[in-house]
Amino acid sequence: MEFELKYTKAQENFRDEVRTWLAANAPDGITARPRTFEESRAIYLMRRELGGKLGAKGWLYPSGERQYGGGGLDLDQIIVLEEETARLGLGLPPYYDSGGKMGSASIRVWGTAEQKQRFLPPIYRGDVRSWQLLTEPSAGSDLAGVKTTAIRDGGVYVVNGQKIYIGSHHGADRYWTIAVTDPKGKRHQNVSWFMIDASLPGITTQPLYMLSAQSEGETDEHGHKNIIFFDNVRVPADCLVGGENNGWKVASTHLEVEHSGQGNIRTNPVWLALLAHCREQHRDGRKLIEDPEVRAKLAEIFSRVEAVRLLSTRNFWMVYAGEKRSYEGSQVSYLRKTTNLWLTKAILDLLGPAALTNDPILGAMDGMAEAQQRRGIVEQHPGGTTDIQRVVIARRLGVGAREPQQAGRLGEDGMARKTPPAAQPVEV
Amino acid sequence: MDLSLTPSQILIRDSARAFVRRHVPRTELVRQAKAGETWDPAWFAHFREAGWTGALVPTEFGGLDLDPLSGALIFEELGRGAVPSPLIGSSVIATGLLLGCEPTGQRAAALAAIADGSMILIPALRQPDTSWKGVAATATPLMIRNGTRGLTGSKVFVPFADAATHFLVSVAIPGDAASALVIVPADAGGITIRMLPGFLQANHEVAFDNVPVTAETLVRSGARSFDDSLAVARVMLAAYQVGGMLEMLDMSVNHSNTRIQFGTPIGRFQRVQDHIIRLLNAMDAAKWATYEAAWAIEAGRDGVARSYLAASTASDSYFEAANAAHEVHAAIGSDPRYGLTLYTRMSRTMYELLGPPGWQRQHMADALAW
Repeated sequence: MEFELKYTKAQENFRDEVRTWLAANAPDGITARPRTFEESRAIYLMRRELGGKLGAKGWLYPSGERQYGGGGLDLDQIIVLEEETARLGLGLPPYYDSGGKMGSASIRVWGTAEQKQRFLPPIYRGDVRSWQLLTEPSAGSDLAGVKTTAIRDGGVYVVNGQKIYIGSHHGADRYWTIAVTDPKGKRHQNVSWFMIDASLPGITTQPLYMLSAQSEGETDEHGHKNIIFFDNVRVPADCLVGGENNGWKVASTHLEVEHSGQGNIRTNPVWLALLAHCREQHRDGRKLIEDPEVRAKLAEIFSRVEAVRLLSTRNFWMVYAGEKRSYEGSQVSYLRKTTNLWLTKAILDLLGPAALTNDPILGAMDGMAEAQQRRGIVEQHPGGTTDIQRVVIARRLGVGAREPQQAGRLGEDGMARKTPPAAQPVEV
Repeated sequence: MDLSLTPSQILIRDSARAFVRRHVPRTELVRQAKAGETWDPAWFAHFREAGWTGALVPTEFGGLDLDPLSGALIFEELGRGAVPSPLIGSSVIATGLLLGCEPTGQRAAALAAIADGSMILIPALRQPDTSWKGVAATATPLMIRNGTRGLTGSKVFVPFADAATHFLVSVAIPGDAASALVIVPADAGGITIRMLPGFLQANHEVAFDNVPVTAETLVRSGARSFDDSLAVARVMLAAYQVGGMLEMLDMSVNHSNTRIQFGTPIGRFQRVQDHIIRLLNAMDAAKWATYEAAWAIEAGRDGVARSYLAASTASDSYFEAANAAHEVHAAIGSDPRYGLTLYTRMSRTMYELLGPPGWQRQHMADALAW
């Protein structure tokens, strides 16, 4: 067993190439915290522009097939790309693109050749930004209970309904969504997925600012959600992906990606900032890190975040090594969420009210502590609540069932399944 | 043993409950929070008319001199409504500190003015870059320049400083070992107030720049320490937190019975039930610790120790109860328009208002002479 990620000469060469390229192409200020709408918009456009440049090199979606504009890179290279973008405080894509990530993964498995050719290149090249639209006012954990309808009318589907807690700020170009295509059909056999052009007539958007929002007015992407209304939206029939009324099977691919099946090797950035804060800041006339109580609390926090990091690393390796997975994705999702909520109290105990303000002078960790206090609560719920994750884990273990339920297998690269699914997505 | 409320306690509780129901709609609290408004002077005027500004002030200064449990019932109802108000700062904490001080004319005048509502006396205690080690440890040394004493320094995490007519500032007098407080008019020159943004509710930094301090404005701690004098205040804070938990429990039970998923109210799922039971247990532990502490103070038992137990239990419980309520509500609960986050924010803001729970537990152990 070897826990250290060892890099080959080829990887180190690739790292040099990526680092040099990013230094030349990622503009200063791209990770700045915007204070105004104009700054926020400017940063968003910077990120989209960088996305386009990454896309042109195949680095925006490095695991995507080259024929569709993806990078066709192997995991050795993807690791390096992710590390180098993370080093700059950026993700891949460098903007919120949930519909791109989960939509493309699903389309690779379930789309026709023509749909792959039509939908994947704009996503992989960074020409479009896509959001996933799943939750509805009356359908949260119960995804199969969606009420939005898409009724066939000649060459189009007419879509009506509303989706809630969607996306972030500055809009999107495509919506990846699930809707009822057979209102009289049986549950699970009546839904289908669509990749919808967000500019179609009849679509309206209303912003929604969650507890985690720093401010209102599209300044900060965190906590900025939207309600999307569909009012007789005529969607071309060839935007339906995976077969009419076959959407519950498509959902298995989508949800496996969303439930952290892929893993990662990142260290929790809040932990790194907290440790740095305690090393630098003084309280009661000494550095925080010199206070025995602070040291004990830090050690406790480290133990918890390390557990999450290790299991994420395990998931990453399992994908990397092509290991068969079952409960691991949901386990990490569950542990990350519960640990982050626990962390809110641990940090409040450690730093006191300085953890509750983003005041430039009195706020701890340049406002990151305060943001974590709110996000730790809000982020319990997207992508499957902790309770839903517990159901998934239990079923994958075979608790209360004759046979363990199988994971929605992803592809060899962790992004998409290459064979038809054996398992249904999970519901309570 | 009789754990029931007396008729007069029920009357007080019902009148506070009626005020919240009639005058503090949740939509208005949501609007105020969104607009960044910290407190509502019209509500404070009602508190004054009801006599609650003097609820804990002895009758000789014009107060109601309520027993601790009666006072707690008022604050429980205000907490249930998540009513933000300088009442806790002025009529609970500042009043508690003043009652622990040696009698002076200034002290008597301040207590009378707090009771009649003409003075909103906001405690300004904590100094920057310090952990909480009790009120006396927050003292800012007075400077002497040209023979006059002046107050220079910053006090942080001061709730409702924007409502203050006066500040009650913890100070150290050079050459004098006694812990002291000084009453400073908020409109005295050299005072600047800065609101602290973020999750923390209605907290401020108050900076004093060479504000003159005369001997008459100083009050010194009496036989008991400031922290012991705050026993009643801790119980009132705990009651306010208990009220918040009671409301979150109602919201969660209601949501679990009306939110339909998988064709059934989510309350039928054991995982949802578990969150509600966690909330219930947190609430009841804090509620009964609070009621017993109120009784212990009144009955002359180990009131100080019990007040620490109530305060630490209530702070921990309110935090955890909010988490449980959010689990029940999922995304809807994180939408500030719904109203649950009013309580969540309060649970965080109040968490260590008079010291973190760990510090309070240590002092409970000390008070019990373990």
